[in-house]
Amino acid sequence: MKRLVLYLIVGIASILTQTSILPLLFGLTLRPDLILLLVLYIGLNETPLAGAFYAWLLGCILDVFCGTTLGLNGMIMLLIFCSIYIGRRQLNLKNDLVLPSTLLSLLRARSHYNKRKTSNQGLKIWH
Amino acid sequence: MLDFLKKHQTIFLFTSLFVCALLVYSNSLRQQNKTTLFERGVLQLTSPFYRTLDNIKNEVTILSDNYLNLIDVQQNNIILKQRIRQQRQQLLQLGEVAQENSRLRKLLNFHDNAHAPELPARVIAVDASSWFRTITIDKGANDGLSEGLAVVVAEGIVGRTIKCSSHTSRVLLANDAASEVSALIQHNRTRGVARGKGTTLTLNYALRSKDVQIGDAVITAGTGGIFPKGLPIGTITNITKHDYGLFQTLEITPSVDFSRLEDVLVVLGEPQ
Repeated sequence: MKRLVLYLIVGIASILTQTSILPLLFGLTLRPDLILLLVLYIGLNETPLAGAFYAWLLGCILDVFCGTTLGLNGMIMLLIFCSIYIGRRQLNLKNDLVLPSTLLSLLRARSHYNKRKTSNQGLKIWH
Repeated sequence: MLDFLKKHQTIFLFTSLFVCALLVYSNSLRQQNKTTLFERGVLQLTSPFYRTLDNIKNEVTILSDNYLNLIDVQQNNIILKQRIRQQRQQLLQLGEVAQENSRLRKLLNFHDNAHAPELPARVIAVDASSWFRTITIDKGANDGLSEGLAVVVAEGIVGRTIKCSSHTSRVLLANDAASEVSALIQHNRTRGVARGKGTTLTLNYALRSKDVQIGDAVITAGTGGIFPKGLPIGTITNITKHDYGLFQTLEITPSVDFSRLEDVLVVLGEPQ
């Protein structure tokens, strides 16, 4: 429960930062996905059931501030968590480079998705 | 069967969770226009933070706008640019005044040297057609002008008055084809008649035997009864000597720029 509250606080703070502060600093050209970082961390450290729920919940919270349909980002975050959880067996978690390299690959996948999403909406935003 | 489930429990778990998530998503797709309780709760929860952040953001924005981004400087820049524009205009006006002053000073200087009664006049119009070279000045019979008076500027002769009304007069410029001025070449005193040719003048009836060089100054001879003696007409720029005949034809470039006449002096009488 403590972890859930902690993730919720961190998640909401991340979303607040992502939607309110970062646009002031970077404008619309750069929007770091902080929830993705959190899901990445969850995927590397949590148990499958709890981690999947946290990831889905964080995704759903992100949906409140992003898009029009609740559950889309929840589903995506869940998929990301599942991928990381399955893939983490192949990773040496004690290596410090695991988190950055996994994040990098995830960011690439995520940016690809966002580009498709924004191009469908007719927006020109780099993610 | 149980072994299979245990072996692949994670996959089954994720699949079932994904199906659940998909169901939630598909359900929310049908209620897109409604705000769910979850959404309302999250928005309610985050609204104070947003408000606080917004206030901070506004404060920071105001601060940055006023101080960091130097918006005052931008406003000052706009005001200063406007001022520069106004001052440029004033400068142009002052330049105009300075030029006018310079012209008038020259005229006064000329007036002092000439020692003849002259009346300053301003050019108010030019000829309506391009066939003739005349100007209209703002002085007329009421100011003591009459037909046949010399009109000059500091650089040389301009022409002579041909029509006078009570307040304005028309001046036939020296470069008009109908204008003829008795002239002489300054350095060897060769006499001739300077006739207008549009943009230039020609010095006719200059004796062929006289040695004339390009660049020689041509001045008024003072024998025509209009122009006082010694006023510059122009300089010789071309010499045409025919195979036979008594005279040579000389082309004179006038010393006055007739296209830029603004103030002139009307010589009212003979030099004292």
